[in-house]
Amino acid sequence: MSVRLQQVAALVSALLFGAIVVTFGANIVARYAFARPIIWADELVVLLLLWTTFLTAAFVTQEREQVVFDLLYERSGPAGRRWMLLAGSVLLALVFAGALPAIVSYTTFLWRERTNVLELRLDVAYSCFALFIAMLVLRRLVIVARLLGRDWRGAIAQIEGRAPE
Amino acid sequence: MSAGIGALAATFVGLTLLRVPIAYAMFAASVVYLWTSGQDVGLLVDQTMNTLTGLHVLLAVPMFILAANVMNATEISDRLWAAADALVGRYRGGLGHVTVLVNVVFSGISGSAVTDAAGPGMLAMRMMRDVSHYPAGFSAALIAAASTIAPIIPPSIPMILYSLLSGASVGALFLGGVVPGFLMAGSLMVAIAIVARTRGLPSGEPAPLRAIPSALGRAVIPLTLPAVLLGGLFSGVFTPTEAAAVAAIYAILLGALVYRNLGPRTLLAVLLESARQSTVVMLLIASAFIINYAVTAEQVAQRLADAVTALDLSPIAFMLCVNALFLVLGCFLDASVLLLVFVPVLLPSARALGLDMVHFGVVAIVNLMIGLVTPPYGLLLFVLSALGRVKLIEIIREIWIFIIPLTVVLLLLICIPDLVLWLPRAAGMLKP
Repeated sequence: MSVRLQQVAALVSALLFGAIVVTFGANIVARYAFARPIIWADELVVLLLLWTTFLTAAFVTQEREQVVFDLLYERSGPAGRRWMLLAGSVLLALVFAGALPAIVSYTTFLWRERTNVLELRLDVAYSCFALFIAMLVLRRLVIVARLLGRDWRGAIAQIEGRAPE
Repeated sequence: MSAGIGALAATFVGLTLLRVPIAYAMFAASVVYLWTSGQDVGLLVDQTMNTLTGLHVLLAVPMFILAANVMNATEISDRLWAAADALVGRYRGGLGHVTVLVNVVFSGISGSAVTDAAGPGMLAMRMMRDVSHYPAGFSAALIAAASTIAPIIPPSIPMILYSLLSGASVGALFLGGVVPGFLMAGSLMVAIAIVARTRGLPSGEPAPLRAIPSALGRAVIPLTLPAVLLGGLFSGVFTPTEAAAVAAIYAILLGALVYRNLGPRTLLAVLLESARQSTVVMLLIASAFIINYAVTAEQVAQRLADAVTALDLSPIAFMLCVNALFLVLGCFLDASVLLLVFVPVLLPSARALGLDMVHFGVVAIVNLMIGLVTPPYGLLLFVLSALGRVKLIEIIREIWIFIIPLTVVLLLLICIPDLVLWLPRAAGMLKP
């Protein structure tokens, strides 16, 4: 991802997260100071949390931030690590690429339903999940391409968090 | 075991061994499960999104993470650290004791072990490993063990979830956790004192007597945070989920208005960091839901519960069996899976035996928190390995020192129910 796109994605994540705090705070003040709860606030914070989570996972979170189990990996040499990462990434990309059509189809099927209070179309509200899965496949393919390329050692260093992504 | 569950387990184990992020491996394993058992893969969307939107209480997770990050960015954590250091830092292995003490105070603000590991835990990592040259694995293991106190001393996210499942009162559960939380802290401090002597860990610089009041004084305002939070919770001014948001907003106000070290730029950075950390944790929780769906659909937990009920045990033997089972399962399964899948199916048996739901719940949650640090699958071990940049194997080598005292406390809580029930009874939240 280009640096500019990364910066925009990071800003969007931060602002979405900020919006959760503001909505939450506004509702508490409205309820206790003015005895008038904002009826759509609870639904909005949940939707904001969904979008923050899946957009951040799709565009901002980097490989080194993820929780991994590396007992076997740590005992392997550079070539072994390269093949483990390749195998894991190819399998993951295959599974999610295979699942994507059903995920998109299920999501678009929800167009008739709406959220309880704000009455937003459910397919739109839930579309962040399909976007997350699509980006996951794309980012895995980029990792595969880089691991197959000449600078595979650099790619491993980035995945392990020894070099900036 | 059905072919579906077999495929799920094989995919999950295979992918995690290949260093695929655990949340992604769980999602992928559930896709393979849905394929193998001939179900619609669209259920992945249904289970993930509908469960996330249905559990409003989950909002407490990102808010507690934000509160911890704001406290780190505005030196609130440093003030708490300095005060604890002035009190106990002078002893051999003093920074270990300081870590436990800071965690106890933080537990009164945060309700999640991961938040404590990511917040004050990282400060402790800096102080122990980088400043005082404690072994990295030992430091991370100690922080992991100390972080398990967070959901035991109120507020507590797992207790909120348990109250939804069992119908037990949140207030009684919260008060029931106070004594166990302090017992866990005490047991860890005993372990640290023993290790410090046998391994010759450095003692801290003793703070001059005159400096102690000022170090404590600087921590007075930060200490109002747990006071406001717990006061608001127990007086019913706000709900446990709102308490998390209040903690975050209060910390932001302290930083922006009182200490004046939280400008717009820092705030934006803190929001982004919180979004990133909360995403990693929320993905783990979201992926646990679809695994729960598979485990429930295949009636894995039900069969287990039937087996336990068939043993026809006395209440105390039941508690011991269930806890032994949880300790073993905790080595392989996530606490959220145990809490959301296995605990509910055992609740009817526990009720039929006349066990108190608050006692059962607090003991189960202490057990699940120990599960967060038992290898090979221990979420806190993974989080500390990722955030503290310590090799997992180094942490695993050291964690046993702390699992033993925590297990002793668990055993005490099982055998002496009053350790849990005395405080909620004294407060009139439970019938004597």
